[in-house]
Amino acid sequence: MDSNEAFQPTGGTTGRSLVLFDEGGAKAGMQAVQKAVGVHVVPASGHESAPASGGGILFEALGVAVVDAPPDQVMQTTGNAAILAVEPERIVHALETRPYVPPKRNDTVAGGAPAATAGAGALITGVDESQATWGLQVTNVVNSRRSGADIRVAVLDTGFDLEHPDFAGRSVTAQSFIAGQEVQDGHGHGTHCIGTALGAKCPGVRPRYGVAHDAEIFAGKVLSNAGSGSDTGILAGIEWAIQNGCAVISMSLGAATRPGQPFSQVFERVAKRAQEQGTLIIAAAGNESRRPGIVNPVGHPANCPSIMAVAAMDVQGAVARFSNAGINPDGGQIDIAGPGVDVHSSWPLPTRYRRISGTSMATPHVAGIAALYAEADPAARGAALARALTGGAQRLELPSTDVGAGMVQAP
Amino acid sequence: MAAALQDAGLRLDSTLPASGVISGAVANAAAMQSMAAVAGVAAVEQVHEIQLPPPDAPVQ
Repeated sequence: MDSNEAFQPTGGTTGRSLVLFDEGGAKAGMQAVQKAVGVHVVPASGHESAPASGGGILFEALGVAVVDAPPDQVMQTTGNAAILAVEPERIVHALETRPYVPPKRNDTVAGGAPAATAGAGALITGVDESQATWGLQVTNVVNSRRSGADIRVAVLDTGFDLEHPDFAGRSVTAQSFIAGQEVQDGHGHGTHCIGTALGAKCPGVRPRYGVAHDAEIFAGKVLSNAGSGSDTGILAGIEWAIQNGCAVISMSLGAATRPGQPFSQVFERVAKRAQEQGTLIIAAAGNESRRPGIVNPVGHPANCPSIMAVAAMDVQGAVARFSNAGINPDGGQIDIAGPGVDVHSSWPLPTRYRRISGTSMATPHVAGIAALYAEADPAARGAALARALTGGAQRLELPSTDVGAGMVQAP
Repeated sequence: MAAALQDAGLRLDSTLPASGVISGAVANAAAMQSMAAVAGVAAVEQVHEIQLPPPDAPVQ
């Protein structure tokens, strides 16, 4: 192309080029560009505005120049080893927030949970849950090609229904930390959470309700069949998960805290040590709130800074009425949000499935998605895995004290 | 560490090397103070109890 020909920028670009130089090679590279393309370049320091037509500007500390010539012209005429990349200069705009979009409605069907859901909470009407639960839709799990393969996920809870048909053929390692009780789930909560985090891609009865459908299941019973437990059992379960190389620990459990209450130094240290050993602990923020009037702080141990605290949201994109908030100034922040209202998942036989709500249900969504990130990137472990989750979350027009980084999204 | 804590009055339950935690029981709150004084102890805390709602509760 003749360098004197007028250049018509395509949509979104200015017609100028960004040129990236090798470290230390900016001066030499710039001389080559100037000589070849015929631009007069000035260094950035001392000049405030964009280069005049026919010129260029060099940001010496960055090793980048903006040159008033189109990229193909710059690339053709130089070939200098100091030039690492040439790109078109883009026009940028202030961005609008992408609003939260609830899953599409199915006006001909009232709800999607199968009739086997005995004793369920409120059914969602009008949302299409024929193939997958609403939670898997709004977190983009349904579009992810990840399965959590070769990732070990520990769910510390009331145990697991080892006979549940939807988990046949899965790798399951189960251990009870409750004296006198087997790991077989006599409550249901644990089976529901494991279902959400790790349930099958094609369960016996649709809809699909699980995230990391090929991850290895580590079911640690740290809560009794009556749903009670203590720090002692939880710590034993964390120890077991770390020793077994679990990348993720999901804990849908906690104790209420008071405003101003500090977080546990013991659990904070344990969580940090876990991260250093490649294990990320994800815990429920707690359900003690009754919004809008009563908003309680994040519970123990989710209130530890090194534990990811998960808030609950409903299908319309609102914070769940019961979901706690990050109101304690020292620790106690909400890190991320997940689907936590009217969540369909597995339940011990003969009931088989159940629909319940809680930050307990939001937490395994995050844990399962953490397994997907861990599978996608071997370096995504511990604190790095937490950053991948928060970095990939869908930002919402809601306070971060309520939703942290926003709605978790699958890779 | 476990031996030193037992000498200071801890009835030992378990040691968790990967987590760096030892758990057990002491006679009273004052005994917790003497645990904290043992060399190498970073923190001593009371154990929290957890209780889930019953299985048929809509919010868990």
